[in-house]
Amino acid sequence: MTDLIGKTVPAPAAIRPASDSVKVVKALLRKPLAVISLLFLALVLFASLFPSVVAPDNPLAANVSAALEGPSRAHLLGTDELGRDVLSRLIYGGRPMIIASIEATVLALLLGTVGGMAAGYFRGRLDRTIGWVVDVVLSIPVMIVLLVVLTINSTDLTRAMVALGVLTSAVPLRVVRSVTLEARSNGYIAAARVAGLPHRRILVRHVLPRVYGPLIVQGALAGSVALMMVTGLAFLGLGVNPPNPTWGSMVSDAAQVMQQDSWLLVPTGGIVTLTVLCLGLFADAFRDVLAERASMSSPVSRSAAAASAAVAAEAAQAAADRAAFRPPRPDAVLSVRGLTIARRSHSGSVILVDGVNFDVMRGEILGIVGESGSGKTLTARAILNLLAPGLEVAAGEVLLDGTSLVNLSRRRLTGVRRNLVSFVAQDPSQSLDPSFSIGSTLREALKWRENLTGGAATSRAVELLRSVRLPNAEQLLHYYPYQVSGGMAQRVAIARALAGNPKLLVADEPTTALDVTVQSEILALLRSLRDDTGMAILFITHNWGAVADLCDRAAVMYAGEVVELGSVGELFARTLHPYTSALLRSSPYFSKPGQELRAIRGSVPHPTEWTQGCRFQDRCDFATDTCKQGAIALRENADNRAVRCIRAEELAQAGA
Amino acid sequence: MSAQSPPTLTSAAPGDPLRPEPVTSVANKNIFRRHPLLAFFTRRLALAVPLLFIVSILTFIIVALIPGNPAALILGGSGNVQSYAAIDAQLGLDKPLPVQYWNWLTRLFHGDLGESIFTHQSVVQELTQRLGVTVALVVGAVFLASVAGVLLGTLAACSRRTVRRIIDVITWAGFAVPGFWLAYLLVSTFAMHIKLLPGSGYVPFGTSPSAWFSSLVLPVITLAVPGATAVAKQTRDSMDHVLGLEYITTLRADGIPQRSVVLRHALRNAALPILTMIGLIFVGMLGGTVVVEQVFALPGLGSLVLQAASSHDLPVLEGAVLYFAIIVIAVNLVIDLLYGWLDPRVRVQ
Repeated sequence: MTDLIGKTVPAPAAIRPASDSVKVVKALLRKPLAVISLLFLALVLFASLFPSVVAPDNPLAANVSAALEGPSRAHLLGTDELGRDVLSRLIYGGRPMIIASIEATVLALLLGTVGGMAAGYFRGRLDRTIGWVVDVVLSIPVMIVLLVVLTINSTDLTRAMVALGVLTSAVPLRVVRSVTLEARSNGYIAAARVAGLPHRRILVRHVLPRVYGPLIVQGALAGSVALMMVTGLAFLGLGVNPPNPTWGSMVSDAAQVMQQDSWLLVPTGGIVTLTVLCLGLFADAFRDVLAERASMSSPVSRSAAAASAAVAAEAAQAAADRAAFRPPRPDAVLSVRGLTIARRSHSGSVILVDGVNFDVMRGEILGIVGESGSGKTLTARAILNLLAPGLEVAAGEVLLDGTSLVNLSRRRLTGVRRNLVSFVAQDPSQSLDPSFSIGSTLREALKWRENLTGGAATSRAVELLRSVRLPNAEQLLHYYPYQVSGGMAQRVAIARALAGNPKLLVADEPTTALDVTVQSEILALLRSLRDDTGMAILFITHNWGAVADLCDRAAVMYAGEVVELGSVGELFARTLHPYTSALLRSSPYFSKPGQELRAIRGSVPHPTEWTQGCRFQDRCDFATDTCKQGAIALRENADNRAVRCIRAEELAQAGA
Repeated sequence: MSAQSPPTLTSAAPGDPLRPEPVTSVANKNIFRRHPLLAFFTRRLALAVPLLFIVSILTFIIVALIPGNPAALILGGSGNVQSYAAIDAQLGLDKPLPVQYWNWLTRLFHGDLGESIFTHQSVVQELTQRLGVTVALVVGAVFLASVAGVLLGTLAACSRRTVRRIIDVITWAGFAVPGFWLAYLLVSTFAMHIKLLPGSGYVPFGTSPSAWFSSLVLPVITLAVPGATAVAKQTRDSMDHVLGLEYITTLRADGIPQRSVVLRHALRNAALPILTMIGLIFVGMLGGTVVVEQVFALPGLGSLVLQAASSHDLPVLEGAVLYFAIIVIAVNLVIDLLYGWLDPRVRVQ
């Protein structure tokens, strides 16, 4: 039985950076911009290292009779004021620039890697000292320092490149430090430290491989900065040995004759721009590849075709479900029918919430219960049209007070949000803007939701704070969210939601982030607010205790579906779905002393691993072969209960 | 600053505002209590003084390390041992380094940084004359870069793919164009072809404010372009992050208009890293003035540094580096103050 876990949930493959590099290169080669910029950079590098092989002409051979000629077959990029071949001069002129830039870049990366790894790995005083040095280095104008250094010897760039390397090492150092910090917090590195592996071995074997990727990005960026600086110096006549060409001095030569011929400016400055651009584009593409790989550690999604087919099939099932479920009732403040939410990505769509149906009556508190990953939060957010980018309502209907909310125009949606429905989020420390005082937060909500400003808004804000039973309401207006406790902040969030006297409050796990004692206070507050105002509440939770305390009815969600729906009293007295029974048995809230808590084996399946037929079958003690054949509808029975299980009646009779 | 915890905390109800500990005398205590921002600023200002001292030492040491004999430069290689020694004594170069530093520092406090080896003009006078040009140039460029960068970045963060992509291309192009080349492209377009603006030279504000303004337009744009791209990228990343946060979702759920969500809330919370970036581009632009002032023939600090560096004019170089350091410290102070103004949490730390 237990080996089912192994079959349904593949163990995550360990990410090995070394074997990963081939994949990174492959992913990089799929990006056209990355390929083009890499090819160009390779060409520039080769030409700079072997100018005599590539250059068609002698860069110093003057021919005054052919001065300032435009591009021709003999001179692809034309000739300069002394009739020298511009292309050949560019090829020879790149060499000192590229070599100097590489010197500075290599030094910057070396210093950055060593300093960053030391700071991130050993932390403490060393980290603070290095951090301070980095801050100082970042506030030094690089060009000024280079000029001072070049005062020593203005034709030799080496010392200046050492200074440049040191000064540009600050940014790679910061990046390496944060990668090291992240690696350090990783379980196996902590284990290696405990096991007494020498620091150097841990750093070289386990930390360094993670640094390579970000280091390549930083290398390209540091290289572009160095090239910019070196050509700038050469433009100013520093680090130049005339008549030998450099990219920078060629621009200043071209500028001398720009009155007569402005063409010369194009190739000379153009080559610098193109090289820097390619370095930047390559860095950008490489960073994208690394980011994509980091986000791919979650299970692989189905192929695009299979996923689209699945979307179609599931949408069809949702429509059938919707037909089977009763039509929206006129006395419901909120009716959700066949709500289907999908995540669209370039590799296809994945259904996350599948044909959800329920009603919230006026003044009723409906709980939606489920484990994490069941789709309950997505459902709540979809109702308010607050799905994150990439998520969308693929099918279904949401009726709020008779208004359909799906595909509502922006303006009308704003009207609904201001007048009909409010939202309270899970963590008050995240859901209140930290830069605004409690007073301005409330006044802003009142401005848009009740058209109140000035003194009227302030006194209404005080009234709202009193209605959520906060003492010293007037003083509280001047406090910032970070200055009050979590429970107080959540009361403020609820007070804000009450602005505009909404008919429905959507509360997404409003007590999860709070202390247990504070939780029950907030639940009591919500109940009394409902009793006083007649506002309906949609209460999302994973806590059966909160459901029992607060809700009139509850919908149980599993793997993106509602599996059972009924009044709280009946639900606790007699569960119909095996998942609900199992969930209740695993909750300490309803257990008797001495009774064993029974965890449900396995875990909620990922949306890409939903089974055909009943989605709970792999974890169900009562699953039969019929449970695997085709979709199972949410059936409503006579006493206002609904269940998505073909064996519900049979099991109920057997007393399971 | 002090290890003792603020007395208000122990007696007050949970969640009473934390108040900053004043740093200076007890007599001033109440002022700082009432104005936490003032206390914060005073603290930062107090930190700047030792920093200036350190910078002066560093400046002195770096310049002292530069080989080459000023006496040889002054005499043009034609002097004898006595005349060398005389000039060394005149410049104070015959004393040990700490004594030289002490003398330099004492003179510094009297507003005397010596005189240029070549022009024999007072260094302080020369630098102060040129300071205005550079400050006008850099402040203008930072302002332009910040406004353009924040606008572009915010637009990108609030836009769909195509607009994002277009702004991406613009910022990449701005990033890659070297300043010395962009300067000539602008000159050839706006000064030579359209003849709208002067291609080089400087007109003092006192002579003609409008001519002063037009003499600065092209240099300011040249200097601002790379800064604007850096600010735009930072703004976009920062805004992307903030727009995904829970309180933005809650504001949207409240029906707060998009304009208010983006400008009043998201931008304000995204502002700290943007401000850091603006501080960094300011520093970068100080270096950039060397090239820009050279191309546009502006008599600022940047062109002076270049001149001093190529002619080994050590007193001028020393003074110019010190001036740049003071500008950097002042800018960091302003940025710190803005941090405190933008984020209520920074003030009490």
